[in-house]
Amino acid sequence: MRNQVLKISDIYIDDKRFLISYPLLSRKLMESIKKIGIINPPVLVRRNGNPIILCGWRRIECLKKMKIKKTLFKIFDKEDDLKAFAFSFFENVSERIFNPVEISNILNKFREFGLSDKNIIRKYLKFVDLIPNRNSFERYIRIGELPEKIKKSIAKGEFLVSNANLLMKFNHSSRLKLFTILKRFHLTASEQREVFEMIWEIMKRDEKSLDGIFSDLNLEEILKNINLKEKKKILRGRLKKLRYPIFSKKIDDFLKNLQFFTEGIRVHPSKYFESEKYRMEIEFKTWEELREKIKEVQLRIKDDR
Amino acid sequence: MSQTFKFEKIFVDEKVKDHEFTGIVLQKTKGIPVKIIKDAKKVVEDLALEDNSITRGKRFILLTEKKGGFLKPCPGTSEYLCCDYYVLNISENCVIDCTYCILQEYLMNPFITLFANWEDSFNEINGFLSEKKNDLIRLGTGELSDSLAIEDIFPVSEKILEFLKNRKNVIFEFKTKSENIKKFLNLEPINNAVFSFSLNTEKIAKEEELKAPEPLKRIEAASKLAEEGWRVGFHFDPIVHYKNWEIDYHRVIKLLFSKVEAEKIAWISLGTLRFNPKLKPIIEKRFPKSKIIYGELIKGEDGKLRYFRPLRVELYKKIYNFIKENIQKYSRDKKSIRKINIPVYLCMENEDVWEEVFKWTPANSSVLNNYILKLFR
Repeated sequence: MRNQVLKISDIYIDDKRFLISYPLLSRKLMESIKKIGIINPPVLVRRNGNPIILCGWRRIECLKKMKIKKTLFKIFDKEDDLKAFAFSFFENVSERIFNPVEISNILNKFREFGLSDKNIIRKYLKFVDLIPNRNSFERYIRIGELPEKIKKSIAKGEFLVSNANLLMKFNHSSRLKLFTILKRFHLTASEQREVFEMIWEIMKRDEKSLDGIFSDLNLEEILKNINLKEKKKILRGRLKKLRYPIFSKKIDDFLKNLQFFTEGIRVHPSKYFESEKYRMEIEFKTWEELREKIKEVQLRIKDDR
Repeated sequence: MSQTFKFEKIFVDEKVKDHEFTGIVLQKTKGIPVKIIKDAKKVVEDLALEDNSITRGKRFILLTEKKGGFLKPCPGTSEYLCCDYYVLNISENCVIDCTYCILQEYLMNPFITLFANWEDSFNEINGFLSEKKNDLIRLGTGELSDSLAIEDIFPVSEKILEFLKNRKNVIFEFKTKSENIKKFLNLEPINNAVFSFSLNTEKIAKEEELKAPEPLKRIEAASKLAEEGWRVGFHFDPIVHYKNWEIDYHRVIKLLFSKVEAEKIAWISLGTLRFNPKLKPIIEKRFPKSKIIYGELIKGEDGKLRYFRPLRVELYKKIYNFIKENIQKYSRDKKSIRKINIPVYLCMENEDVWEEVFKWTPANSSVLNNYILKLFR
């Protein structure tokens, strides 16, 4: 490897075969370059006579933004793309943590450079802190196919890889539509998971389109609600009714039976009605109040007979 | 050689290359390329890293050895009542490839794995049976594989039947979805062997049991065995809830009792669809047309997905009634003097469900085992 000062404009940036970084621009890195300059020079390789970037895409992007014309580069002489990329990978691995989109880029690049899935899993997954098995590989390999908006959210850590995988089940156009609309509900990660799963399963079971489900849910009406908590509650409630109609009816019937009790008397079924048993809770301050509530329960039981 | 299932290659673990049973299998699979391997574990790990490893694994046979541990209590499930069943794992994985098969998630090894030293299991069974000499044990090979589907290339059943002849305290079950029973029709039936068939509606068989013979064929196979004097059993498992399920299950039960001598039925089990949530993405990927995972499944007390209780009870009650009604009809038609009393039991269910369906609950798994075996006592 040799050092050489080159004009940034002389670098052939259209060749992105070794690009891993996502997103390209890093404000933090720019600040750091402003303060202390570039410690590790970017690495170039020559392909078809052109110098192309092997490592240091972000650094060069920052320099361009900072209108710096020239910088010191290292020139790597490897002809073989796979070997060059493996070098770039290890150079990066020692210096930073990859976000999930970058991991996806890495896996796809290794594939493009001819490495078998098996070898990628065996040799490289552990270096990106993934368990070296097929499941981990499959969780990440397709992340790169997602729309930019979603990838940005994943890279920032706002959107989980597991939920991105649920979104991958939907067709291309539905992914962004679903992501964008549900963003307006500010769902937590576990709520997102639940909602994606329910929508997907209703679509599959009832052979419905995403728009058809949105229309069944009357989404626009829910979104008019100002209270965020209420919005989420209505959305999940309506989805549950569509996804689990028999179970939801059972709950509705159960609740209907209880609506006559005054406040402070609650009946709890077992989780998902798995047991026949119910549990009753009575809140009271005085013995007199307890007597009244027990009387009410007795009357109710009598009525039910 | 099996007509239905085609294998691409046979991997033979170096340790068993000279084993007598390896020779038998290779003789029966002539024409299929064979590869001797030094490290079976590595070959298994290699395949597991490939895309579609489960599908690919069904095209390969792995002949290897098992170092003991053939006999195990049925894994069952926590929090639900089990039936004190024992499983004999002499092979692993199944060629039939049903969409709902739990082996897809349960086994780490995707190969159709045959243990060349399977006869070592007889020592284990002997030891176990002498320990439990006062009990009547139910034992079977149909847990981690289908008992008869590849009998043509892995001919174990005759030897098992021979082994069973002088053993009084074991009832052995060959559990299958195949109709591979021809050779047993020429054998002398023995009392402590049961050939049991997993049954489902035509719709479920067609859509979810892709490589299995249609239910009618399974019923006819059972009928032939019963006619020859063998005891047969039936497992309605997994029972699937869908539109018109009642009509379809009623139809298959009617068909069963119209073809099979009810006196020869050792037991009937019922179990609704249930599976570990980890199986869901596997089914979605391998069988995108399957819709059974989109039923009203909740997470049960054991963490498995199953229909919520009122739905399960409805399924069980109706199907149990169809069975009772058909037994009565059978008795009337045959003018049977003796009351036909077939034990019907639930697989992996909780006490509340038992109580609701049958109006009684076995106190524990041993009581349940005794109930299932009442015809054998």
